[in-house]
Order: sequence, then structure tokens, then C-alpha cells
Amino acid sequence: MNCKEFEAVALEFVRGDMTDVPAQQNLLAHARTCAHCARRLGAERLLTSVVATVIAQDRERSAPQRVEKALLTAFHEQQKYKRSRRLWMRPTIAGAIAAGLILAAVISVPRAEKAKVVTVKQALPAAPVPVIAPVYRAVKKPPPRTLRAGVRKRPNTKTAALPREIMTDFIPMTYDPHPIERGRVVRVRLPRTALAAFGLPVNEQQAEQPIRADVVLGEDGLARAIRFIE
Amino acid sequence: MPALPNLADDDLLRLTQAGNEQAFTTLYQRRQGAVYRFALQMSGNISIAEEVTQEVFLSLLREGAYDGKRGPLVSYLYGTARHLVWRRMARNRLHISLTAEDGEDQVTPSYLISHSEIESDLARDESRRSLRRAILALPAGYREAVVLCDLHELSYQDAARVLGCAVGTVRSRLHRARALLSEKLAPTKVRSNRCLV
Repeated sequence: MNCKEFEAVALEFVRGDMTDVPAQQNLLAHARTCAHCARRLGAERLLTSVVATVIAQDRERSAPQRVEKALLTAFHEQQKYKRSRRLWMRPTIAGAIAAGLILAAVISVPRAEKAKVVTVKQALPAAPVPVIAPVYRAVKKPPPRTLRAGVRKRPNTKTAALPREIMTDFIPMTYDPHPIERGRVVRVRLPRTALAAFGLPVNEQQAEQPIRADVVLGEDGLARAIRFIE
Repeated sequence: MPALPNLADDDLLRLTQAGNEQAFTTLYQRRQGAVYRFALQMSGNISIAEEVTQEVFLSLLREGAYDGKRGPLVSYLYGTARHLVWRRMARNRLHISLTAEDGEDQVTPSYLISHSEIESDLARDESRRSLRRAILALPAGYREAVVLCDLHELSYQDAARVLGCAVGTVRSRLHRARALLSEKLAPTKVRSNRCLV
């Protein structure tokens, strides 16, 4: 063993970490032949012994009682805080859970009903169900009320003219020098022979069928004019 | 369930965090000495040691502060104490004591030397005093290695876990630190007359 090797293992030897006996003998043999390493070993041993006395002296050294008291006070305060927090948190958590359950129930109810229908369909055997033909009825929806709903609509002249009517001009029935200001038009059915009374030709083949006529009545109720409609 | 003093540190801590005061007291009684001594030997300041001890155990009351997967509880305690000591010492460096005149006396505070006990071997007492003085004068990294491996008798692995470095680093730091301490303690200098055998 040389000095370098001695330096490398001297600490382990002094600390008692060196378990290899031949290595220990080598180290001691080198220390016997080398004054420097012998002094080094002596210094290490001295240091180790002084360290041991310091350890022994310090062994009983401990933190003063006030540190423990302060820590116990902190411990109690922490426990008190935890307890109060637990008391405060319990109703909050319970409320949150209840709200969550209600919400979940509200969300899941329609789904559950749908699911029930499906399962019933799957579970039950297919029974013959009488099929009733649906009846469709046109439902007249009232027109939406708007501001313009109050405005009277113009009569659709185009559609009114669709059933074409052939009519004569109004033929006066009585002589009156004063034209009437007001009157009513009344549609009546007359025997076709009435055409002849006004000098109009009568189709003999349709002589049996009545003919429509608009009669203008005055305020006094007397017929003033007539027109024939075919 | 075994008695509290027979429980492992982790079990005591679990009970402590569940609100068991007795478990906390047991854990404190078991580990406070080591934490307090470490802080005192590292800082040389009794008030720092007290504050650090208190804060280390307060941190245990906080849930989630200690993670058992990262190492044993004792390593966590040393690591937290180390961190707090450095923080305190850095803060104290900003303040200058007006009463301190002698640098040597400042390094070795009187409270580290027990006046009450009268020892027959004055030389040993002087050696102890010298060693404490020399340890406090060591560079920080070396001091940590000496305090943990020599004064607290931690293995290299445990010390490496506390310091957050490799085992080889701890070993080399301890080697150099002890060489420095030996120089200061030995009556004759070892450095001279190196042999070439």
C-alpha cells in the first residue's frame, strides 16, 4: 500500500467501515513504515475520539420546552380549524350533492321514460294490433292577428268572376221621375216565362226551369228594376 | 394496535394528521433532538435552532408536505431543517451585531460549551471546544458533511439523500472536511513531509 491508497481508505478504517481484515493489516503496516501516514492516522483517530466526545455531550441536548408548547398550541388550533371547517363544509357538501341529484333526476327522467318504452317493446311478444286508418282533417288556423288585420281586405275580383254569369241590364219595372237614393238588390227565382213579359226570348226546351233574377227594391219595398241571370 | 412509542415514524405522522395529539408528541419527542442539534451545529445559533425545530415540526402538520416515496421521514426532517437553517443564516448575515468584537468568540458561542459540568480532563474539553469552533469555520458544504456523517452518524447514502447529491460527493466532502479539522486539532501539521512510499 502506498500513501495515495492509504489516504483513500484511512477514513473508512477510522470510521470502522472497513471490514476487510487483510486491507486493515496492510494499512497498519504502511502506517508503521511511513511517518507521514502514521501522523495522518493519529490525527484521524484523535479527531474521531473528539467527535465521539462531542456526540456524547450533545446527546442530551434538545429543544427547550417552550418549542414543544408552541407546537402543541399550533396543533390544537389546527385541529379546531379543521373541525370548524368540517362543520361548515358538511351542509355545503350535502346541499351540493342534493342539488346534483335533483339535476341528474331532472335530466334523466325523460330519457328513462323513453328507455322504458323501448324495453317494453322488446320484452313483450308482438301482438296483433288493429290498425285504424288515420283521419286527416284540415284544421283552419286563424290568421295571426296583426296590426293590419283590422283593415278590410278588398274582394278578390278575379276569383269572384270565376263562376261566370250571363245577365241582362236592369230593366225598369215602374216609371218614377225621381231616381231612388237607396235600395236593396234581392236575388229571386222566377219562372222562365217571366222573360217573355219583358219582351225577352224564351228557350222552349228550358221553359220548365226557373231563372234567377236580381230585383231592385226601393225604400218603400216596391220593385223598381229587374235583371235576369243565366 | 401497538403502543405509540413502538410505531414507525410514518404511522405516527399519519395519526398526527388524523388529529392524534399523543402521536404528535411521541414523534416530536423522538426526532426533535436530532433536528435541534443539527440546526445548532450548523448555525451555531440557539435561537435559529429553536425556530428551525419549531418550523420543521409545524411543516409536518400540513398535509402533503412529506412524501413517503421520496425517502424516510428522518431524511425529510433533516432536509427541511437544512433548508431553513440556510435561509435563516442568509437573513442574519444582513444584521451586524454591535457587541461582537472578537471574531473567534463569535464563531464559538458560549452556550455550546457546558459551564455546569466540571470535567477533570481540561484538555478534552479544550479539544471539544476547538472542534466545535473548527466545524463552524468550515465551508458550508464540508460542514454539512461533517455534521451529518460524523456528529449525527448518518450513512453516506442517507446524507446524500438529505443533501441531494451523490454519495461520492458526500464522501469526498467529508474527506476534505476531516483533513481540515485534523489540521486545526493536531498539535503538529500533517501537511508537511509527505512520504513517497
